[in-house]
Amino acid sequence: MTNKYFKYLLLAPAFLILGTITIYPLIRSFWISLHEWNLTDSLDIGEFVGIDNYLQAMGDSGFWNSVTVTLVFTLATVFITIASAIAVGILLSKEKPYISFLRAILIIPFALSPALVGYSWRFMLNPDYGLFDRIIGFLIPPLSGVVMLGTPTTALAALVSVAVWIWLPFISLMFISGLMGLPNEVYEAAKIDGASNMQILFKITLPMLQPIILIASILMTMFSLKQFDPIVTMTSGGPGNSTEVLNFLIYSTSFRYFDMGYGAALGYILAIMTIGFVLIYMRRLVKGGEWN
Amino acid sequence: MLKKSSAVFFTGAVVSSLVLSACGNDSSSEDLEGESITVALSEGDIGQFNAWQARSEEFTEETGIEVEFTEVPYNNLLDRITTEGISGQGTFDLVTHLDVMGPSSRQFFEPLDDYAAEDDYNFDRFPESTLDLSTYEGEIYSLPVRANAQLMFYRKDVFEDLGIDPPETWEELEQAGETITEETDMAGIAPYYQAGNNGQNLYMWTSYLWSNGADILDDEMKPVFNSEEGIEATQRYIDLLVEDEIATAGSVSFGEQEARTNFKQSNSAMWIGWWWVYSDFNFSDSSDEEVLGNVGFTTVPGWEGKESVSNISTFPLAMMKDSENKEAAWEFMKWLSEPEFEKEVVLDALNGDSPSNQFSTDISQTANLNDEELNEAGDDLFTTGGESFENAQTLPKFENWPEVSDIISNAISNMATGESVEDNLNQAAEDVEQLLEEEGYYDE
Repeated sequence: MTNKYFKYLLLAPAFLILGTITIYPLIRSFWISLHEWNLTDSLDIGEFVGIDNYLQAMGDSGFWNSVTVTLVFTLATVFITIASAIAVGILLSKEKPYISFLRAILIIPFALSPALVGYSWRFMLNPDYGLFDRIIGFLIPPLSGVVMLGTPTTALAALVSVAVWIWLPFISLMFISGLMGLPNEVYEAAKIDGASNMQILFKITLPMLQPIILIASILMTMFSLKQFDPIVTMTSGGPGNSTEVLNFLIYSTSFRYFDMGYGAALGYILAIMTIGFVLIYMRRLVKGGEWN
Repeated sequence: MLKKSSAVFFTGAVVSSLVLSACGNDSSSEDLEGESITVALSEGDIGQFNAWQARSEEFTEETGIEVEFTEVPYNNLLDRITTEGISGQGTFDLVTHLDVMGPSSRQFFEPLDDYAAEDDYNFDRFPESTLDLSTYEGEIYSLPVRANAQLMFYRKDVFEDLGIDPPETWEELEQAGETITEETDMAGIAPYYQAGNNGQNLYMWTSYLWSNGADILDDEMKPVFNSEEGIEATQRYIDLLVEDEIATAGSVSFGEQEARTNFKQSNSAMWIGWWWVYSDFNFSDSSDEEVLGNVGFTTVPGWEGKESVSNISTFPLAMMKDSENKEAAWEFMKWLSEPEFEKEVVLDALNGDSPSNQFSTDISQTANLNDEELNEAGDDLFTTGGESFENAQTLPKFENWPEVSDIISNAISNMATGESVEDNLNQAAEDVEQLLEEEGYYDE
């Protein structure tokens, strides 16, 4: 055996595993998305329908509602998480003993199961005995009589808050390590030149953090687009279908109505949306040369 | 020599098989000794299921068959049955499930008619209405060993203090609700309008709908819930919260369980739902002190001048088609559905002879519904429930029902936020018709 082939032999197990658990399901689910297949009728895949399932989605008002909800949810979550994480990062990137303790406990919300987080928040927002329901009512009196999960706007706002609560620690840690790695000389030079704190933030810190902001945005967009557990446990897509994100629609279609063909097609549409977002960010990242 | 020994062996085998078959069922259950079956239950500390688990040791002693129980969260039950069914692994031998899951899951279930015929097992022990929910194309796929009639529960002490009688009509319910809201710091009633949860917000709605002479679908499967009567009934159901404001404000986001908690915490004075909660309200540790022992029940109110129609639902026990221990599973089904067993579980609970976590008032068999001893111990709960079984209707039973149910469930949830009842019902009817058309229900 020559050296040339030996490397492929070593890679073979990895390819085999990847092929079995990623490539095959991807191809298979695409194949399913081109078929009519209802599990309640038969365990065998049904007739080939071409792109009918994709066309069905285009004419389905439930699908467009889900796309809108998903986009609003994603944009709000990404923007609020990134902005808050930068603020937290700036606060916690100092070298002080009590701050490293704070950084350690910061990770707790991220370590909890998202489904459990959803249940806990549903409990805390309960109008009868919910802790947060009372706090919100106390701090913002006009909201005191409002059932937070009972109106479309407040329910979506609650979901966004929970998603931010889950991801903020992780993204903050990214910014903390980014900020701590920034060169001190630049800041010293700025101070000698008489720059104000705001000028330093907007003209130095944020531009230098740009690569991390981009990476964090890519990750947060992907996380938000696939957010599922807290939505199921908090609102189940309600009231009505006002918080029914695309992922939840895919779940209902595939595992409540067992329409596997249409469910697979919706899954591919979500994947295409995700890839689309990532490509936009990546182009920006490569073009800007921010890595340097 | 070889031939002779083969002949002896063959004769011996024939004789012993004849002797064994003559012994009948007893020997077959002896053969099952040492087998083990797994039963999937719905999670939630349900007294009846706890009693099954505790008493299954008696079954093991009698038959030698080991029984293991697995609890699956209610919200994941359908997914789990489907996954197990598709995998064909036979992890579960028996599964409990909600009746509306039957149409999509029955392909994974074993029909029980042949087992029953072989053992002279009589299905007539169950009321016709509940057995019908287990029957598909003439074959019985499950035993309705857990069946629920819808009743109205109310706080006896509050009603007595305010001098009001338990309502028999919707109008009386509204009046009672108004008095309670005005005179106490409680809400009149705790409905549950949240969408999802397998269509929980439909059950109370159908009581309004059916008692006003309306229906969900007609004989040709066309949606008719947006008829004049349908709109009137739905408006009245939604107005408990929106217009009359006698429902607790949180009901817009409540599932059944949260509405029950609201009632158990003494935040509301009336609740409509499944009768099994009678024990939960009156005897559970999670009920407020004021609530314990103070909850009365009556049949679900009706429309003025029309007959009251309540809803029934079952949580039957089915055998998985891929089970490798079908005979043992059937033995357990027979044992569990003995009328005496059911009576003993409930009677022990009512007489305080069983632990509190096994408290159950779940009666599913006709003989027990009319049983004097049971009714005496349970304040005639079972006679009242039995009447409801007779006057009840059930939700439609077909494969696409989960989708139809979600469309209506979402519409109800929207209306509870203050949106127009008529517009939402019309839109829902249009969506249901389009769905059923696409699925070929109107093809000639």
